[in-house]
Amino acid sequence: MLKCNNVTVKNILNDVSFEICEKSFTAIIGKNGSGKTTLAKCIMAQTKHEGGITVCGTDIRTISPRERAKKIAYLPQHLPSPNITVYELAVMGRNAHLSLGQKLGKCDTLAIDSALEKVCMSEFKDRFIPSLSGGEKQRAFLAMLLAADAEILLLDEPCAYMDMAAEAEFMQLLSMLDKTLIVITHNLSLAVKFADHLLLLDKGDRTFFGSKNECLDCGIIERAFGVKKKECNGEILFYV
Amino acid sequence: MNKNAIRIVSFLLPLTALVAVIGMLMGSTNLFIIPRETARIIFFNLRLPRVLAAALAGVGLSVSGVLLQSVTGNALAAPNIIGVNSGAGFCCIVMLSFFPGAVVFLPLGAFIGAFLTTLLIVAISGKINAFRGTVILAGIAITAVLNAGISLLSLLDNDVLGAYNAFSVGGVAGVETKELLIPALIIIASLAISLILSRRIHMLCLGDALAASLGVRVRALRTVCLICASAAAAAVVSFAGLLGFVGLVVPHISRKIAGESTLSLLLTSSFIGAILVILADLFGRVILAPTEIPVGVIMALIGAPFFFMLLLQRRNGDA
Repeated sequence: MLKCNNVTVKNILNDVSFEICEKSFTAIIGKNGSGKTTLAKCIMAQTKHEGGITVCGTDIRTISPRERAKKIAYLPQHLPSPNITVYELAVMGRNAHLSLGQKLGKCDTLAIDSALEKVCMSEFKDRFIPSLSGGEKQRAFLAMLLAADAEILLLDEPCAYMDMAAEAEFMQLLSMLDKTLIVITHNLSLAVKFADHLLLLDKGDRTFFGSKNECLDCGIIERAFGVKKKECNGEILFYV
Repeated sequence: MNKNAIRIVSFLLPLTALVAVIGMLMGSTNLFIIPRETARIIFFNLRLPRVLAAALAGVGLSVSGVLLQSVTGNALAAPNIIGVNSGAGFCCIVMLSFFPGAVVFLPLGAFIGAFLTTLLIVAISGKINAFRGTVILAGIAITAVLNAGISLLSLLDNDVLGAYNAFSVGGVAGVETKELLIPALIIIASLAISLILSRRIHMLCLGDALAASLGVRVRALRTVCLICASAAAAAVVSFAGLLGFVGLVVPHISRKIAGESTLSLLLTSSFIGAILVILADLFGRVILAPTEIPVGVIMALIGAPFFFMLLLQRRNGDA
């Protein structure tokens, strides 16, 4: 579905290659400064890079921003707090499906309502974004992404400002969506718990890409992060 | 058009028409007690063009203000920060200094000066590749240079200084209807383009990364909005001189009424801007009649306290 071929950004990413399958959940992990966010921006064609990135065989740089938005929905690391309602935010997610001056149609309204329902934000639809808690705000933006109806969701540290319980709940919510997911996260335990595949970046290099089980078996996470692994009640935990 | 926008137009359009009629009927001369022919001449040749000019100035500067505040993400952005006023003023003073006989071409000169200055700021910002904040900084820098040029040229010739002062205060006295045709077309075109793009302009509040990921061509949109903002403001400068504070004050008033939606904001600001400038001009005509206070002075008297209130609100908000 999404294929990166020798993606290079000078001094940040070195020949990163991997391929993500449809409906899979891939977690991108790595230390600070390893190039995770830059890779996300390359996938969104927001950073110049060498090498190729294709979605369903199409180079992402050759398609228009609207076509790209229909294929990949992106949530950056730092989210704004615009003075708009949750519903208005979800409406913005439909932009790629609307021509200039075109009004919202029935299918757009259905997509928006469905998106709000999936993230349990229907009752919050008239609330303003600045009045929401961190977790509620994240879910509001997720509703916007779902309303976009893109095939791939790319989220950059979506749980950065959440407590542990909210983080686990959000990851659980993501794992239940019928989408191709790419999530950048610092929480190794949750990454291993929810993701099918892991991509490990270290100083711009692709140190590992493969299934969760392969990753756990080879011990690459322990070596890369200098952590120890422990199994507790069927869950894998990492600690220093 | 959504329900909110329809509500706004339904209420504000008749209100604007009412204010315009009041502006045409009221003045230093009571039309109802003078001979009919004299009243007709005053109404059609003096007050009608004046009220039309005031309405157009209000619409143009308000639309310009809304667009600038949207694309820069700065609530204090106004047409003067993108070099409209200084560009127009500099071009006029150059014409007055070196081509004193070409007074009839001053409005055209003002428009060209304003528009070219803004295009220069857009080009500089685009090259530096950090569009949003750079527009304001580039505007401040170029405005400073042009203002220095204005000061230098006006110091060299007192006659030029006198003529420039009249232009710089800003007003709609003596405007003829035929002078308004081209500026009206430019202002209406800018408003129309802005309304069509309003949904995407509104998405700029999400930030560049998020707006781009949702399919918005952010840089192209910003450029179009800046050109429309500049064209509308430059068109106003060409017939009304340097009318300050309208572009800053009106979007803030409109936000309290219509909320943050760009479509509603553009419509509300257009009407509120027209109403405000018509009323300001009317006030300037009657308060010290038969002496007139130019509308630019009235707007400064209203605008400055409003600006302080805005600063205080922001300070309390930060606290």
